[in-house]
Amino acid sequence: MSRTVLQDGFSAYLDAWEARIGSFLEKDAETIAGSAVLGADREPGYASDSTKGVLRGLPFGVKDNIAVKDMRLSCGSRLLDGFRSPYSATAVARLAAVGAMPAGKTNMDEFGMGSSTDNSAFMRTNNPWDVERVAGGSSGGSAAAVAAGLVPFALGSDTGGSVRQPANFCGVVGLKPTYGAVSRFGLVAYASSLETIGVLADSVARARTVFAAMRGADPLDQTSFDAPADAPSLLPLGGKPAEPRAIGVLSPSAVAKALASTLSGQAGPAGNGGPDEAAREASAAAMLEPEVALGFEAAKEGLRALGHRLVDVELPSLKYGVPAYYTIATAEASANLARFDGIRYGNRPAYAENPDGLIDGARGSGFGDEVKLRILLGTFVLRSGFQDRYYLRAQRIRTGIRLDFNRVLAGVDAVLMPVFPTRAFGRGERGLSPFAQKAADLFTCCANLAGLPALAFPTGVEGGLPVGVQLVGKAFGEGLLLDVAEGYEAAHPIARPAGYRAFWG
Amino acid sequence: MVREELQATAGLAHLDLSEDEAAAALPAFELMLEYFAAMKAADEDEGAFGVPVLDLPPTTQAFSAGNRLRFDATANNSNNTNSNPLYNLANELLNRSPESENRFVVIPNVL
Repeated sequence: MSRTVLQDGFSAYLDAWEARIGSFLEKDAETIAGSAVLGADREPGYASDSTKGVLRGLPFGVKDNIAVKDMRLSCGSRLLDGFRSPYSATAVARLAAVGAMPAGKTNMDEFGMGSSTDNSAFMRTNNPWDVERVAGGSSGGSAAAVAAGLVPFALGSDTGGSVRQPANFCGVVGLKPTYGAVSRFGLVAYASSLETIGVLADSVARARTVFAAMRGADPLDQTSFDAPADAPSLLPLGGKPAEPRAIGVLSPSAVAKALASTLSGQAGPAGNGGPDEAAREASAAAMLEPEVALGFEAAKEGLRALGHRLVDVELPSLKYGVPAYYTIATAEASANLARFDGIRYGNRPAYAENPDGLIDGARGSGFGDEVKLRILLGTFVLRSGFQDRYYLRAQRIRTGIRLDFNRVLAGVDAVLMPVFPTRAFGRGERGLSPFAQKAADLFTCCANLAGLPALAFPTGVEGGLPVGVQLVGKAFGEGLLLDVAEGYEAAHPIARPAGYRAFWG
Repeated sequence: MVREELQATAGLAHLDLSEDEAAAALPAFELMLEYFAAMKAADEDEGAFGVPVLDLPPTTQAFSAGNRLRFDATANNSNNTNSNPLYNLANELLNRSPESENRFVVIPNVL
């Protein structure tokens, strides 16, 4: 096949998919198409200036809240529409240093707040498996682009599951690294104590290579760390079987049951003791859809067949995870998003009576409803008189969850959990309510609260949509999680959506 | 939760909520606060944490290595050892202002 023919083929492929899924807010089609030629045609030892390093010649998508020099940086918000970054995030620069090329900015829920990417101010992103369904969120554009084969990998950010949940919905690999393992310099802050830059990739091996290239302490982010010397190796398995491990299995139905019994009967915020709608909805949202439960059981069987030892574990603190997570995340968001005032950052109204009016106007017209809701919640929980009741209690619960994970991980190498209670959901009547979407963060947000690495990987297809699981590991234990998942992938190749073509070597 | 509380919070957050917007936001706001209030059960729930949650210190960050300061130099200094230096960023930023004059940013007239 000649280069020209191949390139033409890829351009048409890219355009056709983008018309259906809408994953990129901005893309450099030439970079992507040009590297598709290199990717497919690459030979060992192929060398030119642009093709050095372990990721040579590979284009990648970057979530629109991660800075790439001279590309847009809108965070999916009207407030930052038109803003272009004067520098690149450390993670992006490190990938570029090993030959990868940032090829565009991917769609996302505004400021990372959402589970569908429908909260983007600009457009919606559809799931490549079924365009009537969401891609997940908030890194939905990155997940959809990788799932459709438009790029071999993409960067996302994970504050409470925003890499793993869309990866799970679209059937790709999603790695949320240990807190601080990857520099956050150049990531627009949402909830600083919880979030990390993560990888969405078309294979476990690719996720490993990308993570290995971008991790490590960075003088520009004082919360970044090098992995300790005794951390599990990130060397590729190279076709060898993964070492058998002890894997703790969290029973999803036990978690849902505990949630129902604990959260019911709590008084409302004003002490009115009214009917507990929140608790009822939250425990309903935690119940696994039958297809997801099937996939979870199949994954357990698959891991057992590969020689891993499965042990039942309990994490009784988990039931408090979501309210603690949203208390902390919204509190941090209310502080971090204060800078978007039309003066320091953000588009401003054409006219205002006074500075307060300018700020109110910029924020009122710039932010979408979900962002406003979370800023309101965060501001409320930090108000004087309410801090002990909400924020401080959430921080103590966070400690409890961290200790609970430490206790369990002292006895096993990793914990196996569902990623999300449903497969990719639809819109409107077939969708999940905004509250249910939040309550369903149950299985993802705890790794963020504890700062631990978590790897979501696809395990099969149920009812025409991908299903998968996640492994949560010890701090800086990404290598071990990747080994187990790579072994699983070798035995159960990742399914691709109809129309997928592999362009990347 | 009364509407006034929401409006007061919106004022603190510099969010200009119209009456209609406030009315639309109220149910979701209340539902989430009700959910947050369920954390109160943790105070008594030793089964979940092994100890009363009030005895646990708050966690503000999963890991911390204390303060590590950046190299104290202007960004024009190429001694910055990071692979992503902020080299010349000051000029870069100034050049992006809509209007500038001799390294000053021209701002709109304020009465």
